[in-house]
Amino acid sequence: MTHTTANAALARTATKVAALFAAAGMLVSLAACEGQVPKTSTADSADRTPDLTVAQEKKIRGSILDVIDAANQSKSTDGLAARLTGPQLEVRSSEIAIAQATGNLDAKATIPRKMTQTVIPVNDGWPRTVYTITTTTEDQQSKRLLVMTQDTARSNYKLWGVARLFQGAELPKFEVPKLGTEMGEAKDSKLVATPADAVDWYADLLNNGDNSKHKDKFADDLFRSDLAQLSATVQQGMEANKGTQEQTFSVPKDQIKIMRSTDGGDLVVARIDSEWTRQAGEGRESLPASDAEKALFGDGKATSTMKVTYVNVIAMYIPPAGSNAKITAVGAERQPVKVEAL
Amino acid sequence: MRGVVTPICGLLAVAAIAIGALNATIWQPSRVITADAKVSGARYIVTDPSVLGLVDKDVKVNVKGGGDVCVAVAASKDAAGWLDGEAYVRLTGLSDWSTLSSESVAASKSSQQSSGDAQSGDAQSGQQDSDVAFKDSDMWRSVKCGSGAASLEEKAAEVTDVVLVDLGRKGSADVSFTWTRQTLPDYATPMYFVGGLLAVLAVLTASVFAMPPHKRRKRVVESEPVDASEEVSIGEAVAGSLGIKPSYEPKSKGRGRRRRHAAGTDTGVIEPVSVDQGPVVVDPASRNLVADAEGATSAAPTGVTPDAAAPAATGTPAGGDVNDEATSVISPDELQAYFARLAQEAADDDQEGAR
Repeated sequence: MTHTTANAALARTATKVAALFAAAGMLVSLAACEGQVPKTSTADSADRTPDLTVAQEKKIRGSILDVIDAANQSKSTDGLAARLTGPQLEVRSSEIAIAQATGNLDAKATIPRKMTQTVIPVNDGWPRTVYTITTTTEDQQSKRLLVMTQDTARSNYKLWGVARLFQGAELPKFEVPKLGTEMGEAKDSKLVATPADAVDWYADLLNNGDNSKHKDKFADDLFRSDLAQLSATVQQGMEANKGTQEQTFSVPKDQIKIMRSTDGGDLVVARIDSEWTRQAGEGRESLPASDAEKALFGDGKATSTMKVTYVNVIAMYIPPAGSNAKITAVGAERQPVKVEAL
Repeated sequence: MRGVVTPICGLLAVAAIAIGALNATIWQPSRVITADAKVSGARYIVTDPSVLGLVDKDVKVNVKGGGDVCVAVAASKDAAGWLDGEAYVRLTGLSDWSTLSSESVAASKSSQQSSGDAQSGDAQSGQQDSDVAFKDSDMWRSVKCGSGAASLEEKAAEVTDVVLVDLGRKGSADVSFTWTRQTLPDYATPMYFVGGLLAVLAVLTASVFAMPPHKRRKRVVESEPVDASEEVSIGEAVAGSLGIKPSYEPKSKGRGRRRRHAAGTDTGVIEPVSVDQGPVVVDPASRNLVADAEGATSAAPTGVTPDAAAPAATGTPAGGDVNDEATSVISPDELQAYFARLAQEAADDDQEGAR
């Protein structure tokens, strides 16, 4: 056998052995295997997911309403702070205090358990805001706009504000809960007015009425017309006994919640505080002007001057910049929280 | 070709089908996959996104730990918000089919809340009064708690969902994920397919590929009517390659089984046509008979390697000289090229067979 043939034979044997091993390896790898171990997908989807599912929103709303119901039943404000915050905590505390005096909870304090629409944010950070619009109440009161907020990751959603929507008010459209809605910013300039400005202007409008320079930017609404009517009536009574009355509205800092609608506008819910000072003339006493005020005043000693502190929650729609539409208030809540004789 | 490649292909085909059958039965991949991890040194354990549904959407999470253990399914951003400023252990995936890989993450200092408090002493002191207990948080899709152990089942895990575990206090824990697979990986079907392909290949190597090129060419050129019963059928070819005695016995009778693998077998099969059924028709206009006869006798012994030529020579029937001449349209050069190719093929067969 020559050298080359020996080499060739050797090479052939080596190839055969290698092939044998390869075949054996293949058989072993195929035998009793579970397949390849799945790998996690590293590509994190850029899609923003809603912060809550509809089921979660329902559960949160349920537990908030449970707390409110429990407080209504016991006519006690204990435990309200666990699920209520902001203006709604003050409003509900006042409503329960009035119920303690009168024995009945005001009909307007009712919050239906069923909802017609929920607006869930997609924002990653905190605080987060959820809007939920309820159905009408059993006695056909208008729908409620519930504003729930979560301030930090370690706290729970709390009911921040409730606005009773005006009859026939047209709300903007929002993304479906499955997609989620972007939360707006107070300084958003892509609107006919930034939300912060709009709230300031609205307070100015309440303070100055038709004399306000911002009047033409706002559509007429039920809240202002009702308030103007009430003010006129009280004014008439006060003038009869040479008294005076003055109502001042002020916007507290950072008490504003904003959600962006699909048309680029914002639905803003903001707190506006007000103080109503009534001074009776001719040595008369200034008395509470309503049953609610009376209940809050209780057995207090009336003097010539009465100061009533109100919490107002206003929901308004701000159209996107370039739109000819006016800023429109779509809902409001107003509740006296403190009545004092000065 | 026929003697080496066909049996190898046949054997591989049988092996592939057998392995396929085994994969469909006793080697079937397990439906339930359980993977676990032992973690220590942190109060919180969180999975990476997509780990929860890694094997299947249907997953059960079991956690054994020291304190009051809570397991929650949450969106990854919510879990990140909860863990802000805390040290935790990440479960990053499967390192093999029964082990979860993990990674420790130190407390970040970029926490918005009082991170200084959170890191001093135990985690409890970092909690603010307004903080809710882990199990009461609104953010969890679902949450289960228990003393010392907790388990949670998730039927439709989303990609962005993660599992967040609160051990109650810093300690060690045993986390296990049990997935129930709805669809098992199918290894049987591809094996059957490969087996089928190999079987087809075996048949082809036993019949068409084993035929000398000039035979194949001749059939086209002459298009001579051939009795169907005398063709090598595929069945016979397979049977022959598997060593089964065919029901059909060649009319050239009694040459032994070896002939079936011989290169000249086809010649033998055609033999009765010319010998028994009258004179060979030769078209003298197209052929130089003298040159053919010389070429056939002189070229055959010289250009042949001993091992390849032996069966061809012995396979030629005694009375087949005339027949060979009559059917052969090959020139000496072509014949030489053919034998060279045959030798090449024989060498290829060795490699191919071993593969």
